[in-house]
Amino acid sequence: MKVLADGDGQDLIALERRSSSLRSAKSAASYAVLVLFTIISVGPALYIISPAFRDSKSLFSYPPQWLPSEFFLGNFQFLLTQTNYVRWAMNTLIFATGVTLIALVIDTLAGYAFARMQFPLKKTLFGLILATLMVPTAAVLAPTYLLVRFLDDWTFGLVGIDTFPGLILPMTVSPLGVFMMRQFIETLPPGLYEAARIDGASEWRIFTRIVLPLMKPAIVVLGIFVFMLQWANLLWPLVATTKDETRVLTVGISTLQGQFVTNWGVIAAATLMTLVPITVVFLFFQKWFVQASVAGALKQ
Amino acid sequence: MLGFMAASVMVLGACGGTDSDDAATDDTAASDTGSSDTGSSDTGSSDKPFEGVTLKFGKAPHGEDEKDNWNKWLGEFTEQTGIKVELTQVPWDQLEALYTANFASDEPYDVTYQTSAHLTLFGEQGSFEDLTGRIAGEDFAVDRPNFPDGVINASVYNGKLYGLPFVVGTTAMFVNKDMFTSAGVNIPSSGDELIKAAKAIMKDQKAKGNKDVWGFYVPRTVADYGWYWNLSDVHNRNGDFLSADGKTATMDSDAVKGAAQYAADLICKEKVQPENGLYNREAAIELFKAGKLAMIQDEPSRVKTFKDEGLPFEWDIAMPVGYQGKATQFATTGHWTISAKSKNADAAWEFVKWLSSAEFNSTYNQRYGFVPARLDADASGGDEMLARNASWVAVWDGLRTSPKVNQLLDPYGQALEAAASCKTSVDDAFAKAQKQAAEILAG
Amino acid sequence: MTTTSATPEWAQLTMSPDECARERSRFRRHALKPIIGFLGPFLFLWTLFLAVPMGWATWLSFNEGGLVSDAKFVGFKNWTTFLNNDELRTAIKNTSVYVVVAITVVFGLGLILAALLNNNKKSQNFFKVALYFPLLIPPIMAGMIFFFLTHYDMGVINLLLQTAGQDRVNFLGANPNALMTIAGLEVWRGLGFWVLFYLAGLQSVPTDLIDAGKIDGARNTRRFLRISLPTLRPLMLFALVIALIFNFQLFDSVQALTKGGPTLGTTSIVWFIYKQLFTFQQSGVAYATSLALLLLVVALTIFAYGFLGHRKDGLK
Repeated sequence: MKVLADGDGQDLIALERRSSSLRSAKSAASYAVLVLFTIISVGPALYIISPAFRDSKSLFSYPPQWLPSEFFLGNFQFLLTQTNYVRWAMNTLIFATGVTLIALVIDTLAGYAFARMQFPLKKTLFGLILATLMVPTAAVLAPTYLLVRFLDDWTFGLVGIDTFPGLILPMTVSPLGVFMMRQFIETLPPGLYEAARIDGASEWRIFTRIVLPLMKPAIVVLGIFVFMLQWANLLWPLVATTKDETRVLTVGISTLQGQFVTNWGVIAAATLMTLVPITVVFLFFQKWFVQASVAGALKQ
Repeated sequence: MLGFMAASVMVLGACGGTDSDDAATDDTAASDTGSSDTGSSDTGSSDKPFEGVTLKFGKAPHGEDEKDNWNKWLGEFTEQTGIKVELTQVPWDQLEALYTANFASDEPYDVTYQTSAHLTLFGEQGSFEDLTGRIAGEDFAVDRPNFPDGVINASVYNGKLYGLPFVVGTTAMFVNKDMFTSAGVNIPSSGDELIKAAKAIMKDQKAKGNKDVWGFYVPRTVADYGWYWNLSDVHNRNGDFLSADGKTATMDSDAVKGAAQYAADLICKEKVQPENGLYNREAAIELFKAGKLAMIQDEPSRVKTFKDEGLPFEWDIAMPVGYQGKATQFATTGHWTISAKSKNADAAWEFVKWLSSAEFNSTYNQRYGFVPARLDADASGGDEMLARNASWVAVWDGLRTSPKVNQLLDPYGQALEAAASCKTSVDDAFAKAQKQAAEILAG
Repeated sequence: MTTTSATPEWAQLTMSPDECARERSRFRRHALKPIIGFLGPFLFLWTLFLAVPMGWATWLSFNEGGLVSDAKFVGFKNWTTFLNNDELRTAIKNTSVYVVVAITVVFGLGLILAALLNNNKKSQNFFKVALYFPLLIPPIMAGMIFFFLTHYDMGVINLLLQTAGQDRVNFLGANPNALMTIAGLEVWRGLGFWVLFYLAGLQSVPTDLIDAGKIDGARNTRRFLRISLPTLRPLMLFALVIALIFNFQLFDSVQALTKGGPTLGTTSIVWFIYKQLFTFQQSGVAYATSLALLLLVVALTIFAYGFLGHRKDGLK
């Protein structure tokens, strides 16, 4: 639109007008596609609502009930009074946020080093880190657990089982994050900081003043990615914690499942209660995500 | 790459060394406090010799309210003995992962709950103390006769008892009595009768306008532990998937194949059970509750759930059908174990004795619906159905013990699932299972 | 890729041997400190929490036991055992099929939706949250929701099929339906992330490029294909690598929905590893498989970069 305001060519405006009806049809179609996928994304979650508000332990009933026929709050009451639900939720936030923040800092720094700094054995080191790119959590579960137990004695209980540092630190290491950050920094136009480097600016200055502001979109994406992974992480928090004081939601919820009989009403209620705050948090940060990515784009 | 690995191993070697040294110091520290505690308690009351000891206790839950109940129960125990117990709830799906990490460490849970397959799996790796000596001890002399030898012996492997049996599982056949009355048939007691009854009921219901009614359901998939529900029929045919000494696989024996053939026939030939995998176990329970299923074999712990919810028809439990009149019960056993690395093994034994007592056993099982492993406990709480269920222990025949039993049950379950999917013949499926089992036992 | 462009510049700075030596000592004095500062934190944690456990796992892959029981060195036995394992072969096949299906669908849909959202600035926030929503649901519950969705009598999909007069589908009890259902669950859960990912990418396409396209009179679709898409190429390359790495680790939904069945139809590589490691306590076999999987994925990553990255340079 800005281009048209320049008044450079009348024919352009005519072209714009002719295609405007086509354009509105197109935008209606694109709207319809978006709405369809919104229904696909959010719709299935409605399945949780009915069992959460029903006074029954079962998953569903014949005939299907899409909306709860009653307004039974016992499942929620159970979670709030007979389990440490609130504590689990808080711990999940501390855990996922802690991992995300630390991971973002160390990954961005290391990504910058690998992308823009020269040092001996750089390629070898990066190769070694890449070699650990895909380690199934299950595979290193037991060795990492034993390591943290061992650190317990060495750090005077600071990093250990049932402590937040012990829970958070092992999960902050993701070669993928470094890889992502390195790739992103490499795609930035080198001219930007070569000049600053010649001017004698320190690496730290180049990093904080020039590179970091440009990296906002990448940081946001990596942040969401790490947070999402840790939000759903079950195996590590399961072995790294033994008490409700440090246990997270995924672990807490899975301890509500019996061997043979599971109270699905309670689990559905737990999920619903989990979804509400996280969606609010997401909505809150959402604006910031947009601003960050737009800002990053504009600065380029 | 190799250099890096070697370096890591060396580092690890060093870690390992220091680790065990540290553990040793911990050990002495722990026993020091232990003895001083014993000293102080001697001056106080002599019936609390373990006052001040804290035990770590790992247990997978049988119900969502377990944690709350344990808080109450453990409080009572602490009051009686002065021993503190810290409970960690272990989720069933991740149980093996958690225990693997925990048992690999120097300070595992002092006391855990283990089912048959896990008992030997971890026990043979040295995780649990052999309780043979303890149950022969003077302090257990009064209790020991209450545990049937058959139940105890079923948990012994290579002469070692890695856990004290607490509950014995059973399976029950839940029947919709209204449907039986309507079709004018009796509750079946043999495999052939079951097919006839199921067909009669399906025909009767169809005539009355209920189209989608099935006669029978029992899980046959790996996901729902098909082997668990099928082994009683194998036992009914006087066979098993593994020899008594746990050294030879008998997956291709007539008993195993006969039971699998019957399972497959119900689905593929007689069509009284829904196609395999169409309804999983939980979905089939809902079918039963909705009056769309005449018979379903499941855990007796459902009795309490069904009674609480109130089903809209008359129902009952029955013994799962037998083969040619022979009917046995199969399920795994739940045990209390003491970790071999426990620093408070004697206090742990006190706790295990308390957990195994008739009183606690009754309390626990009146809530969770299992059959107590000791004869003088009453879990029925006056409930006629549960009392009947408990009486089936007389024909109980459990799981063969072997550290490889988990591995062996995998090809067995796979073969059963394949046969019940109607695409593979029982002979082919179990010939393959036998081959795999032989490899597992040889490896 | 761009690494090659950085090296010559550096080489230009160090010309004579004298300068080279001076440069080296300057490097020691001035450059090493920031390198430690930048790389140190990650490297320290990586060594501690990844390299050491991985080294340990490598050692255990040549042993029997070693976690719960004492280790017994067995040489390459585990490595030959797992190579001959039928179940692992099935697992590799299943995982590969799943990876191809899931990545194709999620990338196609993710890109389309991101492009639509990019043109739909007004309600963008709403749709972003809506699409991201499934990721906030814990995997246990996501499994339960899919169990509902695909239920033979109650599932929306089967109810719709029934209304349309079609035969109902046995989603989880037959092959290859079960694997496709799992792929569906993972796509459902992951789609929002990829939409956000591509949207961030699209929004960082320099606006002057798009304006230039507008002046040229290029249509939306054309502009997207000719201008935005090529600019997104490096981003898509990351996306491919990330998606490969994560989809090869397929596990949660298998555990929640099918436990590897029916008849091994959804047995994934990590499910196989998990079973060997924990259920069967065969840690050696599990670690040998993990390392092999790791090598496989690293090889695929290098291939993706060598192949796609090269093509991108060629286009420049």
